[in-house]
Amino acid sequence: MTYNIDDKEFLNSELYKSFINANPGLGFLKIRAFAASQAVPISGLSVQVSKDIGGNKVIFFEGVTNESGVIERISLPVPRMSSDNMMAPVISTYDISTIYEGESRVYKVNVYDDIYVVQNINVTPNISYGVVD
Amino acid sequence: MAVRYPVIPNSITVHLGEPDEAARDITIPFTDYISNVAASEIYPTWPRASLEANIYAIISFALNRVYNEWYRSKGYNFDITSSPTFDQAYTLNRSTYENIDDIVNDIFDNYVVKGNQVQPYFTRYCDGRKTTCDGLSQWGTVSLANQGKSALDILKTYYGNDISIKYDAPVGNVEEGYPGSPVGLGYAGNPVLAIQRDLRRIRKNYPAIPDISGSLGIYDKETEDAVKKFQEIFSLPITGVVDKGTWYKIKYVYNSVKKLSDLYSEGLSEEEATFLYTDLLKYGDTGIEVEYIHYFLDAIAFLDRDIPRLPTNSIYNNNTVTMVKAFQEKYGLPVTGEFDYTDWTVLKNAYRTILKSFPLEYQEFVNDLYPDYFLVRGTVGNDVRRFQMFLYEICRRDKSIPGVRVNGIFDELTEKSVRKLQSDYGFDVNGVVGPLLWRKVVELSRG
Repeated sequence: MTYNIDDKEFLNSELYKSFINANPGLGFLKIRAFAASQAVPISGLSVQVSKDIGGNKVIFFEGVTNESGVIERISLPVPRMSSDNMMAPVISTYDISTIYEGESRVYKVNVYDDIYVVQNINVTPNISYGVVD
Repeated sequence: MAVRYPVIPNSITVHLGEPDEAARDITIPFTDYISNVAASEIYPTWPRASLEANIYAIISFALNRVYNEWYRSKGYNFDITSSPTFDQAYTLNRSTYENIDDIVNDIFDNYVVKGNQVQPYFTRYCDGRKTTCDGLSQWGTVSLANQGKSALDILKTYYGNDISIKYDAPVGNVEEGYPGSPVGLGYAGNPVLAIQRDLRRIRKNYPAIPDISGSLGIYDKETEDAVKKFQEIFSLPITGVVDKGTWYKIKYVYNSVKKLSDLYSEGLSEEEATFLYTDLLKYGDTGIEVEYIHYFLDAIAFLDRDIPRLPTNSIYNNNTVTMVKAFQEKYGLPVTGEFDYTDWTVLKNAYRTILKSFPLEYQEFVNDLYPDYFLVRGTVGNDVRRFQMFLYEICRRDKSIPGVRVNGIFDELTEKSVRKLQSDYGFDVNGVVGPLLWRKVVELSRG
């Protein structure tokens, strides 16, 4: 099954309750899409962030990059950091799918409690993008 | 034979596999490479000293490969491989962590050296759990950091007490190097102009960065806003101050933008051509920087008999040359009569020293002296309060001036009054308080 994180059916499920109990912390994801050695931001790149929970695909975020090629702060549930696990924290992995001009890509990202993770997406250079005066 | 000192490369070519494996080579910014390796090798949750020690090791390892041309001297067309068996783990397209990136941006031009050696030290390391080696233990750094050891102490534990950190190495292929200290609100001069020029050009591709339209050469609120937006987009700490990380990121993006444009044979636009200027001031030059050095020279000459105190105006004339030569001789600089950025730095330091060491009997006059930076909208502090006190005296007598609240904040009302005074007394109306306007305001405040 595929769920959206704000689906009521999913929010009321035992699966969600168990997931959120195990992941009470929050990590943050930033997406930056660009081409040509960061000379050109890629706006309009579609991004979906999801996670496999109990054999279901749960979508936590869907959106597009802004005019600077950025999606700023995507909050994602992760295990809470404690003094017990700070040195080797439990890794919470999310999947990022992107689509731009018909080309799709998939990334895996490890997210930690209260830490900003940045996923750079280097689009194949195409100098027709952006402003060149 | 001249010693060849290490230079931090702008970019590094990574072979995505083992040396003899058929794999792609990619060329990426050096800082991106270090961030990627650090994110691949260590946890972002580790203590800061541990992260720093590991990042120093990663930087030095990579620089050692580059400096010694380890692979290129063997006929390969790359600097390093992505294989941890041979070099360091680099993972194509992987995410990085902002706290690690911040450290990398801060220390990417520092590296470990051993004894009197010039080359970056070959900082071997391993994880310390699955594998051990004659070098740094990644997990061991965590324990040492938790014991309160600094990054350097941790590195010495593994590499010996005769290692040290070489700081602020030159960065290759960057025409304008980092000025040495952070540049922020109220600063003026070449570095500010360079920042503004670069951001204005970058803005054409990143329109979310606000335009910088006025007060070129002076770090004003507009410039600060543009810098903040740039920092936000490029995942740098949003301070509005151009530190080393922000400086080199601006340079990198500017060069990328220009390189892209070169594909279109853009060259230098007319606007940019007029925007660029030499950092050498000489006979016949005019402008705000000439006025700036006149003011400082005049203040120093007031206290120092070795420097003649001659009348000046806004032109770099014979009097300027005479004063500059005397100043250069006094401070051990090449006596040219022309004024370069080194002279500028020494002049500002001399002025600062004078402000601090003003004789007690003259302390009341220190209050009249201009601080060594421009006051602009948003500046806060005692210097603004001093200026507002002078302004207050003027406003009491001249009701045409909008007014002032003596609160130490260069607010809208202060700016309005500054603009009115500039308009009344033939200054450029830009709302910025430079040395000449300061002097005028002090003079007017006395009636």
